[in-house]
Amino acid sequence: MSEPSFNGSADQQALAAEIFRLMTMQGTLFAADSPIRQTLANLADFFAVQRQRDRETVVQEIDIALKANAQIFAREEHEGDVIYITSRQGAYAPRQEDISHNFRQRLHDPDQPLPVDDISVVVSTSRPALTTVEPVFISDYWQIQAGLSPVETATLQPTPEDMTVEHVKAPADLSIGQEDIREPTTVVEPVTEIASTEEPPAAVEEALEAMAEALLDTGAATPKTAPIAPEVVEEVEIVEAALVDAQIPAAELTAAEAISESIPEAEPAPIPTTETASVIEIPVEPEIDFAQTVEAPPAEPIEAKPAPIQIPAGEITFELPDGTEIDLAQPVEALLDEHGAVLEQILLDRLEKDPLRRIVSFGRDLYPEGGLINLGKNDLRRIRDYIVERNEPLLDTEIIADLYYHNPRHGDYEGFRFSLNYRLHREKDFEFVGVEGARLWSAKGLPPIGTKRVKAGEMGQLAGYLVEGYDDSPETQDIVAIRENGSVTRFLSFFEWQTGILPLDAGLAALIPAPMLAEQRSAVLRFESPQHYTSFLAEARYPTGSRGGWLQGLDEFFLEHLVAGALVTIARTDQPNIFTISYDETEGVEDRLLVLDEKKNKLAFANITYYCMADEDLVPSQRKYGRLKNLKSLPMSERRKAEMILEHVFSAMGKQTGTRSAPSYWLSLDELMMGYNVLRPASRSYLLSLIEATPEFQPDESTPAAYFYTPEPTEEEGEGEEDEDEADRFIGYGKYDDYDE
Amino acid sequence: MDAKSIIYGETSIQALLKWLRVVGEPRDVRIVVQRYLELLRQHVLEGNE
Repeated sequence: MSEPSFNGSADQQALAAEIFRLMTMQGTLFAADSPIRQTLANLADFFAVQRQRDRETVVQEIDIALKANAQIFAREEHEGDVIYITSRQGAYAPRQEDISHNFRQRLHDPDQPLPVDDISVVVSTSRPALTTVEPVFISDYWQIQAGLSPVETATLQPTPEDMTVEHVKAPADLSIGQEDIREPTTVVEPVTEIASTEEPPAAVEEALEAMAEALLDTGAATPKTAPIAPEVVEEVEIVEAALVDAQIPAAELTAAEAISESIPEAEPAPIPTTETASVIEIPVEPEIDFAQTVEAPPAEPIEAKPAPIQIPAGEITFELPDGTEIDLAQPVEALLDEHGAVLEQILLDRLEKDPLRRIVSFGRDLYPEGGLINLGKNDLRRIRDYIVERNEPLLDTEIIADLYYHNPRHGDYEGFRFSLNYRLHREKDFEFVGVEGARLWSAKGLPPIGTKRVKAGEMGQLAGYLVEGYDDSPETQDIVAIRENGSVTRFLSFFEWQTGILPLDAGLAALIPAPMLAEQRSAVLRFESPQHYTSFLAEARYPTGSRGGWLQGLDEFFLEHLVAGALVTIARTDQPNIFTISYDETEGVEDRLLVLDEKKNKLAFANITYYCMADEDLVPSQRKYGRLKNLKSLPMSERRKAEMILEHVFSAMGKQTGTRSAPSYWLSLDELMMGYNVLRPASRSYLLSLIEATPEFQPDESTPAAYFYTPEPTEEEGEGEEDEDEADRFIGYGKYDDYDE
Repeated sequence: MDAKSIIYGETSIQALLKWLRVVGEPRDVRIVVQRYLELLRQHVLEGNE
């Protein structure tokens, strides 16, 4: 690019040339015609330093030199600063864009347009990628070419009658056929009214109106193009729909919005895919019948939005399935206080029955099903293996921490925890054995807790008297105090001591946490002995139906440290699944006590020294209850028969008051209690009920709380009666047969 | 909406589900019932307006 020639004196030319070089160097990467700006102050600073001259003199010299070359350096003053502008090509001139011809204009206004009746040439027939409702723009050019002169002057003022809901109504069906076209007024007329409601876009609206009419006329005249015509009609309607929002006065618009809001989730109707490819497939909202929704007479104008309705209490009341009325005008807290349990249960039931299972529950927790974290078969196998490896039920938090390295600091911890519990709960290889606050999981393969001598089914029946209403513990113990203090104290019977099983009477049930899940059958608890620094697991089996509950797994502790008749205390700790067990220690007491010889499966007395507080009346010592030895250690399946055990205890321990041919036994209730509780658990009221229900047992009128048992004579006994001698009668204990041997 | 048409446990369950999703953690049934009653009331009042 050659350097321009400069005017002025030789010094001025040289200075101007140097400034030009400086500025073009500054803008060396600029476009050739881009402006390069520099201030006079900057130039003066530069040359004053370079030439070691007075700055004011330099300013004057530069200004004179550049003014002499004004054709190259344009001069501007901005906020007191002088700016020179040039360009790499020598002189700066603002760029002039030639827009007299452009492709866009030529495309829009072709020199040789196609016939206007083929509207598909103008409007795209392709389906839009996104089915949005938007008006289709038809240029003024095509409207003019179609013989539709835009009306710029006529503006119709709307009347109240024009602003009816009916006029807003969209056609219900988009697939307009020829019949529809031949009755254009049904569709187009309301559109015309709406379009002419108000304000400026009148020109466009009327043009569209005229265009629609013309196109309809064309369609009617030329049946071959009939399928095309409805497209235009629909287009016009869409445009009108868009215009409605813009033109309806504020009050009516608010009402219209209210109407649209009252229509839940009105989505665009599915676009029909018909064979007529020329159909313009632009989604509208054809199914929204505004007139039907509002249910107002067509001729009445839309009213303005009413003020919020104040609903008096009682008008927002609904009924629960059980008929309970819930008044939503009441505070929620009051409703929960009054109906909380019912509302919770019904909601849980409904959610459980929800076929979509949108909200799932575990215990009292609810969580969206969609938020559950998926645990696959591998996860379940790992969890099960880990529980079996640890050889005891594990807390959910332990499983999560040890296997998934998750901790409560993670944002999704609670969701993960819920997911784990929910998933394991649905697996048959896992059993929930936790309580509220300690969610323990047991797995198939873990060893059972407690004695194997008593099966669960048998024990459930043995403890059945508790659920039958023969629980004496409320009379002997303060249930409220147990619940509040968190400890229960009780004496052990021989059966309890021997098997390590405590029937879950009201006193113990007040201490043990309730089941967390509705179908939960057991909970595993940890018992700690502060006196021996040991701990062990016990299992609480909750009562079901006619079967009572019990606590098992205490046998080792009982047999090692206690005796039957000992006083034992069980107390809660801070952890809901951990309890302490303790007893009062005493000096060693040596006695001959009843024990079960497991090898011979016989009851016998043995010398035992014990160091615990015990009730002497309840300790099965030989000197006081020597006849206990006569009891047979019957199998548990036999012990379920309460009446049979009662007869056996009477006949084994009772004093003989009859003859061999007519046996009769006498036994006090205390002894009966002692003997009966050697073989199976029972309460005093339960024994009394058994005695009262059996005619063979009669009370001793002379002695309170004592009974006679007179078994019915058997046939063999009756035959031998003839040979009986008075001398054969003797007073003894136990069965008469025993003395025959 | 008319309160008489409320079916407890079905009406507005979607809104309850949405709330639970937003909360992002399991919630006790007591709290859920409390929220559900508020949603039902809101639903009825908005319907009447």
